[in-house]
Amino acid sequence: MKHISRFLAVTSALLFLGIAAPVRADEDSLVLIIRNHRFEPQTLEIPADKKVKLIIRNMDATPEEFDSDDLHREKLIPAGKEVAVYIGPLKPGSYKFIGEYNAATAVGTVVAK
Amino acid sequence: MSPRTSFLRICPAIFQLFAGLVLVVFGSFAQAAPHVFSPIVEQGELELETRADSTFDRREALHHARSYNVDVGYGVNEFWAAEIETQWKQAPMEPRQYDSTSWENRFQLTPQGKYWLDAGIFAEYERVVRDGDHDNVTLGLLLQKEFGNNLTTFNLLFNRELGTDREHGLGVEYRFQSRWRVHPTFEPGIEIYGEPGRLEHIDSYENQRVRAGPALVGALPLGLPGKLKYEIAYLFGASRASEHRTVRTMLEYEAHF
Repeated sequence: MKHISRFLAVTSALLFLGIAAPVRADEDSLVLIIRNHRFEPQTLEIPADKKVKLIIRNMDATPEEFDSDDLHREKLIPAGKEVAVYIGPLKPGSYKFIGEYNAATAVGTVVAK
Repeated sequence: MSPRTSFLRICPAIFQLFAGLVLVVFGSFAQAAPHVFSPIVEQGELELETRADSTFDRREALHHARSYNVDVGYGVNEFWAAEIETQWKQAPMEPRQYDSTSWENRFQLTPQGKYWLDAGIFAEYERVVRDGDHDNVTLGLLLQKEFGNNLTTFNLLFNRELGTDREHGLGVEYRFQSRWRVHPTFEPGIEIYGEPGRLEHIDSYENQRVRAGPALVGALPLGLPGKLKYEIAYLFGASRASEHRTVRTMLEYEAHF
């Protein structure tokens, strides 16, 4: 029992340190709107090498899925709701994303520079 | 057409494809394959999954141990995914038989990418059907970290048997996967699976079950709503107690519903 307690205490401490380390919230925040199955703006500029909080706000009456192989992110945005997606730090370049449910019109790019 | 309508229309075709794949896998090999759990939950995502592996060893008692899983999972909300798992097993030199039903849960504790690493909790209850086996519960810690294109995931699991005549104490197990996201359909990596023993009495290394080897993970576009994901790994036994070789496979269809 003593070993279990010690093990769990060490594990909990490591987990806390790992999660808590950068809670200083140095990330920038940007808003991305989904309206009429399109992203506004279609191109987002963000600073390279920095974590960014993307607030995706769905103004449509149907859900949308923010999907990006380049950013390695996939997130459902319910109708009328907003969701935060954290991306980066990204090297300078362009990163494509789509709205998977309306991929013909919901397309966009993140430009890190 | 809404995603729900699209999904309902293609559902019969997907199930036919899935059933066919299940039969292929079932006919080839199957073993309750270990796999690495992600702490990331996708709300509203339905998963149909089949997993299998087989062991290869010169020792008869360890050769061709097989099992096979069919799982159905769903992202209940933004932090909780639940899954029902059915499992068949075939011990070496024994016939294949239905082994257990499990209820698995993953809880995402942190927003993906917000902190230095992503964390989650795993909780499972397994109900066995064979006399002599014991129901059991598993609790675990799921950790994941992105290093650019590399995604590394680590699980630490604790298992306890239930009922009378059970094995006492906590079984401990670790699982590790590190893969490079070269392309969505092709992500090579490595995996390590270890079973050091009971927490109260860790076995000597040679008596632990430790397996490691290359893995390939990817998602295949279907041209339909959803994705078909696959995983395949070739694991080498890294201790005397481990099977010399294990091949594990996974095929999963997922779609938002």
